Amino acid sequence: MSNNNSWGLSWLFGNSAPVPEHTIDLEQVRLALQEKAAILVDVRELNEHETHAVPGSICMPLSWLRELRSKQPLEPYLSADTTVFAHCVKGIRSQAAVEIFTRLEYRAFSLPQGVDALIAAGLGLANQPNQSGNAP
Amino acid sequence: MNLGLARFLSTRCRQGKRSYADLRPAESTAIWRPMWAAWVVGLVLVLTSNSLAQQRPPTQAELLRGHYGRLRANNDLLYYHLDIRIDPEKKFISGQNTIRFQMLAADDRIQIDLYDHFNIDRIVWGEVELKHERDGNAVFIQFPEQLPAGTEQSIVFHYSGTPKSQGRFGGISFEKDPAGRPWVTTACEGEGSSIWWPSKDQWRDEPESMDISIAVRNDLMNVSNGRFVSKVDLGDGYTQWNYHVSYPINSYNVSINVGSYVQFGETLGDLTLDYYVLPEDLEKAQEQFKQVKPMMEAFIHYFGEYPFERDGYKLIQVPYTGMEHQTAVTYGNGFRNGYYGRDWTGVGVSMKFDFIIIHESGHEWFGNAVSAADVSDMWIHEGWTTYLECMYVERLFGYDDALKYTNGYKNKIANRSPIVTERGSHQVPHQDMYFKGALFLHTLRNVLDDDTKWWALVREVYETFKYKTAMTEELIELFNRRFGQDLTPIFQQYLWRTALPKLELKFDEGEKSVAYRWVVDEPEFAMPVKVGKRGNWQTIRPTTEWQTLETELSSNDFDVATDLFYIRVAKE
Repeated sequence: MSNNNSWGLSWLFGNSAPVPEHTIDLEQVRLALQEKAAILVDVRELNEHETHAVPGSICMPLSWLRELRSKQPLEPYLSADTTVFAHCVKGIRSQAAVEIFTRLEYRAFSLPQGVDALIAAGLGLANQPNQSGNAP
Repeated sequence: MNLGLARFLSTRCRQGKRSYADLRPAESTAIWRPMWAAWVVGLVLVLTSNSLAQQRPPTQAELLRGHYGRLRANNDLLYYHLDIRIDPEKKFISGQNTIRFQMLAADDRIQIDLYDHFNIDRIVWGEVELKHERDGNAVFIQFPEQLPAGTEQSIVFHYSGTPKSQGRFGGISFEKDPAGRPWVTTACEGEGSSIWWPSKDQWRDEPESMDISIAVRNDLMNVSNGRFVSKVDLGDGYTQWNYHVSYPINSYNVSINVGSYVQFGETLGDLTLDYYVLPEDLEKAQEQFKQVKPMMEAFIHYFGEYPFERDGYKLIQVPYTGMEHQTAVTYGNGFRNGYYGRDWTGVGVSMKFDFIIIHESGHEWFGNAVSAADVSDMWIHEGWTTYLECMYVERLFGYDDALKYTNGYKNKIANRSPIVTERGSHQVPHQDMYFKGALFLHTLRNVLDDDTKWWALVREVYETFKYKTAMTEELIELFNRRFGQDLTPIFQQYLWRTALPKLELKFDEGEKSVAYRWVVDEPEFAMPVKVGKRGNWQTIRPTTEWQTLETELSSNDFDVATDLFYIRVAKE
């Protein structure tokens, strides 16, 4: 778990109690994504994601997360120290997803904002994807 | 697998003999020696017990592919993570497969398979780059030390290259859809998984689970086996599609389907049914795929819950006829009933349903959940699944239609070679394995002559071998226990012999009697059969010795229930 962040998000990396949604500052989230200290996960279904999504967000539907009985299927994609910001439309599914991520020992936070609000907050620009694929 | 592919594969069967020297896998002399005695003993047993498939000698490539030798048997697959990028324009694949396995015996060498036109970029074990040797499509990987028995090991196999399409469906094919968009699909049961990815390309050993990560152009979608996990924009014009397979899977079933798909779906209880088709075919698919739910209900009626409920069921449009890829069944039957719109069995039943949906999905139970441990016993996939078609017809359209449908398959049977082939040499059986296999099961149902017990047994076979690989002998053992008699000679005659059992009848109308016996290759063959007058059948129990039955019926009026028993009848 990194503690050397330069932008004062100690709550992001600490072991404190869960942070209420309304206290999460989207500017801080934007910085965390920009620093590659976190990822933005869209927990809506694939067809919703295909229609309209925050650029660079990872589509990981709640329906799949609900099937998880262990952390193992997530391990190829999420390292143990990954911090997850989950979003959906109104924060209901993302809250359910955060409960699953937390149970699987990831640090996860629910964002109540929808796609348009997150784009307006600059999360699309900040959320440049990791170049984790194989070279062409 | 659909029948067109089977026909192609079956043309590989030729008559001939082989020498023991031809059988030597090229692992190395040192490796070969310990296997020699077991191989010879096994081979002699097979040769003597089968009177054999009378096929041409296997090639070196087939032996390397089919032989489950020391370098395969020394380890047990646990997990794959196939992580590749596909460039549809350059027809180029690059990436890696992480292979996790447990050593069953201490050794410093294993066999993995990859067609020889691919580059092996490197094979890594922890921080150590491993040496390897190639012999055709086999890759022998050398570790710097003995790996102790019982230890878990993991290697990452990096590779790249342009696959060569071969076989009827290409193994892997780079095509365009009718609108000119890239359409990349795999169907490699015959060619083997190693035609497009490095894997333990055999049937006996399956990983317990698998992850599949396929990076494709942003404007394309990939659909693979298992549950959709995530979609990640890689930021360079490519998107990675991730799937998780949470059940054992045979390597040829691992598939990619890259295209411009649209998705729709429904549920059956907790089971998700998802469909992926080209946009212009959406309406036709929405109509045709209505057959999926009643089909599922029919198979669930016979077997209980769908075998891969956690991973769901998908039906995916492809440019070839279809394939049973586990939880990602592929479909190319033109959204028409029958087989490409024709009456497949020619008795007026096939046009009531879409043959490819029913047959390929039926493989989820036999082929995917219950799998043969060697291609020689492929009738466990194809004979059983063809019988599942008949079960489906009986459930949806009634017994009379099922009887017609089942018997409609008789005219497709050649009876020119046994349907179980030689073990360990990747000899694909003749296509009789489909139809004769199904008619054999139909015959066994009537031998048992108790439908309640029959359907319980069919379900027990499934439950017993679910998520396992099995050989025919294991099925025979179960049948023998449940029938309470030794059916081995009956199985031997139908599966390992070419000729059908012939019921010989000699009438003595003066004495008002008929003498009867079986003419077969198996001397211990004894099977009951129904004879006399249709609607008032009488069961006789012929053996290979003559017996006599009193009858008022003349030779012309004396009937045999050949619609219930797949046999030949000779009257004198």
